[in-house]
Amino acid sequence: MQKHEWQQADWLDVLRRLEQGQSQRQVAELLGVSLGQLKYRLRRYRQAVGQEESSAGLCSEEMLGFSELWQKDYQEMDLWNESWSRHLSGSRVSLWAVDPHHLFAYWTVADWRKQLIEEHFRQSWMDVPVCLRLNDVTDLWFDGYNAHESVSIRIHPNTDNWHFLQIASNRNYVLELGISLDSGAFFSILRSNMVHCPADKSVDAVHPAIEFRKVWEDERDRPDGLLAKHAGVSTRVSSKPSSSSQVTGVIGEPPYAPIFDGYSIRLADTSRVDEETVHPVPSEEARP
Amino acid sequence: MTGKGYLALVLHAHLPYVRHPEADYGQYLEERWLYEAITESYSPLLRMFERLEADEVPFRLTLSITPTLLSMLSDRLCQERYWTHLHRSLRLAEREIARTEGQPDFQPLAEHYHRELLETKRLLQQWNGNLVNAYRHYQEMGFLDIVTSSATHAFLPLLATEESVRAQIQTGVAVYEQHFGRKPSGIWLPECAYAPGLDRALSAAGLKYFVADTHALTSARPTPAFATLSPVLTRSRVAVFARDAESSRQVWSSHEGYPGDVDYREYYRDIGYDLDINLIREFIHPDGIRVNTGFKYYRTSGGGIDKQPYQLSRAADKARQHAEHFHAGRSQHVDYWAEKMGRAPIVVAPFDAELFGHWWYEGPQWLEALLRLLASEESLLKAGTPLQYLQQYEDYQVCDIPFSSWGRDGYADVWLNGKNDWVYPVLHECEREMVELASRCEHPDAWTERALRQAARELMLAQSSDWAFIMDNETMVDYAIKRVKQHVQRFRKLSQMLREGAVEPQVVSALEALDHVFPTVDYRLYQNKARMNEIFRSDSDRAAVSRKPSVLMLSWEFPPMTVGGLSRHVFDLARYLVTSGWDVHVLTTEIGDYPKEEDVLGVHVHRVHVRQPDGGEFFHWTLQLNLMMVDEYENLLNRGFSFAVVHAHDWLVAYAAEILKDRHGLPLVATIHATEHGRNHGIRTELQQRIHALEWGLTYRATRVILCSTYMQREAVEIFSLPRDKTVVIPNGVDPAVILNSAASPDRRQAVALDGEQIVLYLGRLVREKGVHVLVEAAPRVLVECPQAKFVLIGAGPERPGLEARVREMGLADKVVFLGFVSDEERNAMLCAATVAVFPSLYEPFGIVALEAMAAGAAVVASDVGGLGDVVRHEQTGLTSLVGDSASVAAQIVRILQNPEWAEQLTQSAQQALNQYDWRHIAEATIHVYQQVMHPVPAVGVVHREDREE
Repeated sequence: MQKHEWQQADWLDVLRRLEQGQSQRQVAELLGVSLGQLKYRLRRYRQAVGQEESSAGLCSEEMLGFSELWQKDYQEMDLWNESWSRHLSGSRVSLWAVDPHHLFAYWTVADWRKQLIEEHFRQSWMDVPVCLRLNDVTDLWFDGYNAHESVSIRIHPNTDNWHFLQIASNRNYVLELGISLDSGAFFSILRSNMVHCPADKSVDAVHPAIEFRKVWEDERDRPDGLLAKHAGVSTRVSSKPSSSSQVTGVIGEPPYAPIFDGYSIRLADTSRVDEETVHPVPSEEARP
Repeated sequence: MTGKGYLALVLHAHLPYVRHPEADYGQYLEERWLYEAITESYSPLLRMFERLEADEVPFRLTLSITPTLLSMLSDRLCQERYWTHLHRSLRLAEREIARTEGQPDFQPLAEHYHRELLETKRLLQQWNGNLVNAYRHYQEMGFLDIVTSSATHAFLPLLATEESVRAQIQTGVAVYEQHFGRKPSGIWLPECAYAPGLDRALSAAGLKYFVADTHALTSARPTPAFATLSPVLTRSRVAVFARDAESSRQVWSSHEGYPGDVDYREYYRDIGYDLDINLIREFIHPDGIRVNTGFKYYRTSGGGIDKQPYQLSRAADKARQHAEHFHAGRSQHVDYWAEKMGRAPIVVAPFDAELFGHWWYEGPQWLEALLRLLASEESLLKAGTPLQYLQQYEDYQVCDIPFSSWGRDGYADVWLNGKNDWVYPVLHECEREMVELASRCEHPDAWTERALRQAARELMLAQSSDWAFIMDNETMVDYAIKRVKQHVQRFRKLSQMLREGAVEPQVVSALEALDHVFPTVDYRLYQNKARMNEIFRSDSDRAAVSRKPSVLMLSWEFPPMTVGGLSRHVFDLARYLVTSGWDVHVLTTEIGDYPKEEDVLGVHVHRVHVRQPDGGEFFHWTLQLNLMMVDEYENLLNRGFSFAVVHAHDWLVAYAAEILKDRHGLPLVATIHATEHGRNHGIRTELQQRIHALEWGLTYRATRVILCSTYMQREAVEIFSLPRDKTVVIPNGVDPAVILNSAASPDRRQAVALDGEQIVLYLGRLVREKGVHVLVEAAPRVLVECPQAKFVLIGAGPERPGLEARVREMGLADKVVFLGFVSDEERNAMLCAATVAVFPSLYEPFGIVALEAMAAGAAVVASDVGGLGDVVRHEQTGLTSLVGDSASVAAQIVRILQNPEWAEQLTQSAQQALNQYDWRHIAEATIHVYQQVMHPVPAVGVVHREDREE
C-alpha cells in the first residue's frame, strides 16, 4: 500500500463521505487504512481546523460543523453560480409541439453565419429582413418549395424563440429561418426538425367502440319454444338447464359425450366403436 | 381476481430533490415539502396499510415512488433533519395542548395531532428511520405494486436526445432495483406525459406498462375497442392504461370533488399564519417567514371566510360516505360495461399521493374505506393492479398513442410556455454536451469517471419537470429558477473541466456532496454508439495518417460535375498531391446521385447539399454553398479531422475561405484561375463588381496566391494591388498519358476528313472571348494556299449559329465542320489526328488545351495572349499570332501546313517542354507553397527566397 499523504482535497472527500452516511469503517477500507488510523487522523484534522469533536457524536451537530466548512472552503469554487446565458453554440432551429395548435421554436445563428450574410446582402444583421417560414409538410418529402402551405412572419433579427399559436392540428411542420429578398424570393438560413402536431382530442371514444350484447337481457324473456327446439335437436345433451338463471354458457353437446358419461371414461370401448360415433360432431348430425 | 371488473388505484408519490447540506435545518423553506409529505401523507398511508393488514383486508394498490423521493427518504441527512422536524412538531403539539386548555372545540384536535406525530415517530423507529423499508415490506407482502418513474421526474417529451430519455428511464429502473431488490414492472411517466417513440426506451428498460391520460387512448389510432376500460399495447409492446376521467373529476375537482366538502379540514387555516407571531416564532422560518405547521383547527365550511371548528368524527363519517358514493359509481359503470365488452373492465384512478393527507386531510380515510368496500364479498368491483390485469388476458389491441399528458389541456402547455420556455434551449444544449462527453470517454480514469457521473446528476436534476411547473404556477419561482441555473452552471463547470482534460478533484468532490443523488448513476447511458464509432474511427484514422500533412481544398465543382476547367484541374492536382504523400480533402457541390462522401483515387471528396430555397439567383446560391461548406468543415472537425492548410479555388468559395481563415485560423492559399476583370475586359455591372470584390477579398486574405501564368500574375498584381511576393506562378498541368491512351483511332479521323486532308482543329467553347470567329475568318486565306486543309471545330456555345451562318455565306460548309460538344475520348482522338491545333483566344488565363494539343502531337498556333504566351514560344514550341488578327492566324497555319518537317521539329520540342507541366512537378511546387504558409519563415527570408526563384 502506497503511503498516503492526505491533502486538503482528500480530507474534504473523507468528510463528505462520512456526511453522506458512509461508516468510518467503509471510508477506511476505501482509503486502505485501518479504522484506528482513520479515527486518529480524523481527530487530528478536526483539531487542526479548529473543530471540536462532539462528545455525543450526534450527527446533527456534526452537520452544523460541515455547513460552516462548506461556506469557508468552497466559496472560491463558485459552486453557487446562478448566471445564465442564452447564447448557444452552433446554428440550429429546434421545433417543438406544445399542443395540437401550438408550436414552440428556438434557434441560434452562429456569428460566422451572420457575418457572411451581412457581407453578402451588404446589410448589418440588424437590418436584414429575417423571416420565419412555417411549412406544412404533411405526407411529403420537403424540398424547400413544395409545402402544402407556408406562412411567413417577419421577425426582429435578434429574436431567438417564437410561439406559433392557432395552427392546424394533426399536421407535420418544418420551420425555416431565412431572409425575405426584395425579389420576393426566400433565402433559407436554417431549417428545423420536422414536428407532428397531435390531432385534436377525440371526444367520441370515451366508451367502448365495440359492444357485445346478449339477445335476451333477461333470461326469463327467452321463449320456451325455442329453448325446447334446441334441446330436441341435440338428443345426447345430458345436462339440461334446470333453471333459466343458470343459462349463461352455450347450449350444446358436452365435450366427448359418448366417451365420458360423467362417471367413467369409455376408453376400452373405442376400438370397437365406429369412427363416426367416437368423434360425434353435432353439426354433422344436424345436417340433412 | 374475481368480480365483474377492477378498480386500479394508482398513487404517485413524488417530490423534487431538495437537500441542502450547505445550509442548516430550516433555512430552506423548500425542505419542508418533504417533512410535510412524510408527516401528513407517507406516514398516514403506511399506518392505513398496517390497519388493513391487521384486519386481513386483501387490498391492492399501485404506488409510484420517484427516484428522487426514494433518494431523499433513504438519505441520512434528510432523515436526520426530518427527525429534528418531527421533534419540533411534537414540542409544538405539547404547547398547543396546553394553549387550547378549556377549548373543547380545539383541544381534542391538538391531542389528535400529538397522537398522530407519536405514531409517525413509532413508525420511523420501527423502520430504522427509512420509510422505504416499510413500503418495500408491503410490496413483498403482495399488497402494493410499486412502480418506478424517470430519474428526476423529467417531462420526457421535452427532452431533446434519445440518450437523455434512456438515462432518465434506466436510472429510474436502477434506483428502484437498489431499493426494492427487484426490477419494476411498470413506470409512472411524469405528468402522464407520453410522446410517440418513448415506448421503445420503456421496452428496452424492461418496463411493461404505464398510465396515460384519458385522451391518450380515446384519441389513439386505431380507436381502442374497449376505450379506456382496458389497456392497449404500443408497437413496442408496452401496455398503456388510461386514467379514468370520472374518477379523477370526483377526487381532483376543486368545485365538484370530495375534498372541498364543508366538513373537511380547511388547508389554508394554519396556526403558522393564524397565531400571534410571538407564540409561533420558534416553529416558523428563522427569518420570521410564516409557514404551515400542520396544526389546523377549522373545516372548509362551504367556502366563506367564516370558518367553523373542525370535527374529526363528522369528517370521518363524510369520508366513509364519499367512499361509498365513489364505490357505487364505479361499480355501476363497471357492471354496465362488463356485460358488453367480452372482457372485464378495469378503471384506472391515478392520484398524487400527497393529495391524500397533505392537501386532502381525510384522503387516507376515504382510501381506507374504499379499499375495505372493494374487498367485501358482495362488491362487483375488485381492487386490482395493472400488472394483475395484464396477466389475465392473452392479447391486447395494438394502437398508436398520441402525444399527451395529464397537465392543463392535456399536452405540454404547463411545462412549455412564456414563463418557462427559456430553460429548454440551454437544457437541450447540455443534453447534447453530455452525450458528447460520455461518447468521448470510453475508459476514463477514476476522477474523470466521477466527473462524468456528477455531470449526469447535475443534468438530470436540472431536467426535473418541477422547476418548469413551479415557474408556470408562480409560487416559489425564485427557488425553481435558482435550482435550474445552479445545476446548469455546475454541469457546465464539469463539462469544461472534462473538455479541457483538467478535472479538479476538489470541485468534483464538493459537487458530489452537494448534489448527492443516485450514487451509482451510469454515465454510459448517455453514450451514442454511432458517435463513439466515429470518434474511434477518427482516432485510428489520425494514428494512420499522423505523419501526413493534410490540405482542405474548396472548389465549387469536382468530377463528375464539370462546368468549366476548374473541376478537372482540382481533381488532377488533388490526386497528384495524394501521390506526393499528402492527405487531401475536397469540399465541393453535390451532384445527382453521387455519394456525399467518396474516396476518388485517394482523394477524400465531400459533396455538400446546398439548402433550398437559395434566393433564386446563382449569386445567392453561392452564399448558400459556402454556408454549407463551413458547416461541413465544422462537421469534419467534429469527426476528428484536422487540416494544415486550406486551398481555395476562385471566388465561388471565397466566403468559406474567409471564415476558415479568420475564425478557424487556418493558413489560406488561393488559386485564381481567371479574373472577372479579365473575363469581361473590365468591370461594368453590379454583379461583376461584387464578384471582383470577392476575388479581391480572397487574394487579400490568402497568404499565398497561386496563378497559372506570368500573364495572370501581372493581371492579379495589377487589378488586386497584390504585393508581388505574395504571388506564385505554378502552371496548370497536363497528363500526356490520358490523351495518348485514348488516342489515334483512324475511324474518328475518317468521319470528318478525307484521306489527304490536313485537319486544322479548334477546341473550346464557341464564345467570342476564345476568338473562334477569328479562325473562321482566316479559313478562306488558308484554303487559298492549302486546299487540302479541313477545319474541325469542337465545342458548343452561343456563337455557333452565327459562325455557321458565316461559313455558309463564305461557301465553305464542306471545309469547316462543327462537331459540337464531344466526349473526352473523341476529343482526344481528334487532337491526335490534327495536323495543327489553333487557339486564337482574345483572353486566355492559361490555355490548358494548347498543352493537351502539344501532348497529342499536334503543332500549335496560338494567339499571343495571356497564359498562351507562356505555353507557346514562337518558333520553338509552336507559332503565335497577333491577337484578333485573322490574317496573322492564317499565315501561321499555312507555315505549319506547308512545312511538315519543320512542324515535326516544333511538336517534338513542344513535347519536351511539356515536362514542366507534369502534374508531379506541379504538385511538388504546390506543396512547397503549402509549406511556406504552414511554417512561415521570417519575412526577409521569404522575399529573398522568392527573388532567387524568380
